[in-house]
Amino acid sequence: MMRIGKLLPSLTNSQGDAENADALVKVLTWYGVDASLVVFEPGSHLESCNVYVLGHVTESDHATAQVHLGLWGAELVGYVSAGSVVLAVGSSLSLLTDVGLLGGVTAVRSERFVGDTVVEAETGLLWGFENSAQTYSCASDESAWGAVLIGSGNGDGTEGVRRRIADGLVLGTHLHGPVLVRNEEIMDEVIRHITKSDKTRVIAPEALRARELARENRAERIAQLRKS
Amino acid sequence: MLRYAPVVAIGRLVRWVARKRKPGGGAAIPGVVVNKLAPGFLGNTLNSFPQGLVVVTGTAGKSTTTRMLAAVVSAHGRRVFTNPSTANIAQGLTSAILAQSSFTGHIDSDIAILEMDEGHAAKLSAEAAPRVSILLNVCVDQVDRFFDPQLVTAMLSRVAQNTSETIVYNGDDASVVDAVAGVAAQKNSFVMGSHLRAQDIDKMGYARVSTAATSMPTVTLQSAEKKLASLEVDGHEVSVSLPSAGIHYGVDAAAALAASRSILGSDFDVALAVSVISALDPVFGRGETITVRGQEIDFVLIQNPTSYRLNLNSMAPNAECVMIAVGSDVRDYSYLWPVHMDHLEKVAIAAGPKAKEVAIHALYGGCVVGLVEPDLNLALEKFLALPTPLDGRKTLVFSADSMRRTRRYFGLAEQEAWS
Repeated sequence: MMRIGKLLPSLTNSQGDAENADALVKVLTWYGVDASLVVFEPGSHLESCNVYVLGHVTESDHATAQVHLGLWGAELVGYVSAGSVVLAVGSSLSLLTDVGLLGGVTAVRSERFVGDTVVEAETGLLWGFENSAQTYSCASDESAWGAVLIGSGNGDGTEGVRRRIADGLVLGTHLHGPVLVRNEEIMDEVIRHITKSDKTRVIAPEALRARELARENRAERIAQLRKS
Repeated sequence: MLRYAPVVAIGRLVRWVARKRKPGGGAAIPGVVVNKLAPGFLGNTLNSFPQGLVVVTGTAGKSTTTRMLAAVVSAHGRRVFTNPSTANIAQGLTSAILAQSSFTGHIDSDIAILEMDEGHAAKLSAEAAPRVSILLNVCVDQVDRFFDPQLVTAMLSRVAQNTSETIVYNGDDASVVDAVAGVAAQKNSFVMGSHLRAQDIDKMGYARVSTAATSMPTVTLQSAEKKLASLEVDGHEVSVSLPSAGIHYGVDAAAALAASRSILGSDFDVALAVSVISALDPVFGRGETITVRGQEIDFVLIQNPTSYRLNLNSMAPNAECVMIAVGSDVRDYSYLWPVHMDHLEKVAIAAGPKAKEVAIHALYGGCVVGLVEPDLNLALEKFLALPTPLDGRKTLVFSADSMRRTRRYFGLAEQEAWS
């Protein structure tokens, strides 16, 4: 049984970021892998999960989220070192730097960026929507997801961060909402990591349809953005 | 006001041309033109009502609260000017005024009760100070437009600071409580009773829930079971029949009662207010049933994640014929993902510019998805062509832009103002 954890969703679900956890459970189920969702709200005891999703935190909730995540910090680092994945979105990148899961530097942007972002990654083009007032500079043991073609991303021409910690994986992005749904390459990377298998056993026809629609939608949106 | 006669004439001409070109549509264009030609017109008109301006603002519940409040104040013998929910930003308000005013731009009403988008309310309140403002809530909504609940709180705070007489505010919403803190105007509040609060506050979608109890609230919503709400108004217990089932309608009724008492003072008749609210129909666009080419269709408007969630949850899970259309007014579909679609078994058609995103969201929610048709007009034809479901009604769920386009396509009138 795979366990997908949602960290502090009541503080972090304003833009549909936390729903990446629900989407992961759904995809695993479509693939014929048993999976369940586990929610960790302030005050809960953190348990071992295969993936943890942490969404963007608004400014007013940032300090509260920092305190609660801080309480789980050591355990979270332990679970990640043992092989878990963390996906962090938007301002929560800075929460991960606080607990040592990311080693780069976050800074406040002079002006908030709101709009579509297109990234050229090794696997092809990634797309998402950003609403971000923060920049990120990767540390030497971290790599970005790719180069920004449209939009803003990390603020230095790259977007995203990927860091391996022992057997674990930390993924950070400024792309809001269902970033894994919109970008199947990242979804597959997470699933490959936790199932330790290169084969994605697609069984359900709705899984194929959802993937195909997402691929078409992304291609159309990128084409529109390139035209404008 | 005579100085505005030429601009009113131009606005009316634009309105006539717009309607000729797009029957049932083009309602906002005259407002855009007039606000450009005479930037002071809107503020001036809003300042001209003898019993002042009342502004209803906040994320969710503006339309219902405004309808309830306008009906109650009107039943107390005041001539009320109000706006439809589709005209709650500056150009829409000006258009609504042009549709009702004399040739000089004068409106023959005692009081204006207007719902306003938070951003426009903050800006307009500096030009036309509200006598009474009603601050409903700060929910997570359209984040790509307002960025952060804190910014919306700052907007409500500006409305509060510009209010000359009374602020009616939601004591359960911490952002609203922050927005009115330290403001000089008199303050009256509405809250949920402790039992209801403990049980259902999470369903309200407030960005932040207040932790401290509000002292001496004007109105307390004690319970809301289906369409029946029990409220305490100044210590008197009353029962109100709500326009539709749902706690949020009960909170809207609490806001409307607290506001009418604040506006009417000693003339306020609680029994009259209760009977007026109990007799109201569901607000335009929500739960409205329209007959198109002999078919009955429920029109359901979604304006934010909260209304999306509440509306989906109020539909029969096995509804056979549901079309969801989301337009380009939703800039980024992400913020609708917190709404879980699993209540519905099937989405027959996903439509509009965001059709694919609707379909993906529904598939991940476990729904069966039929057609995916980004061309709204084509989708509407396909929707009409679907067999009539057993319960006789089809349901059309749409964002505001898709709603306007649908009404236009079916040749249905766009509402302007009523008084």
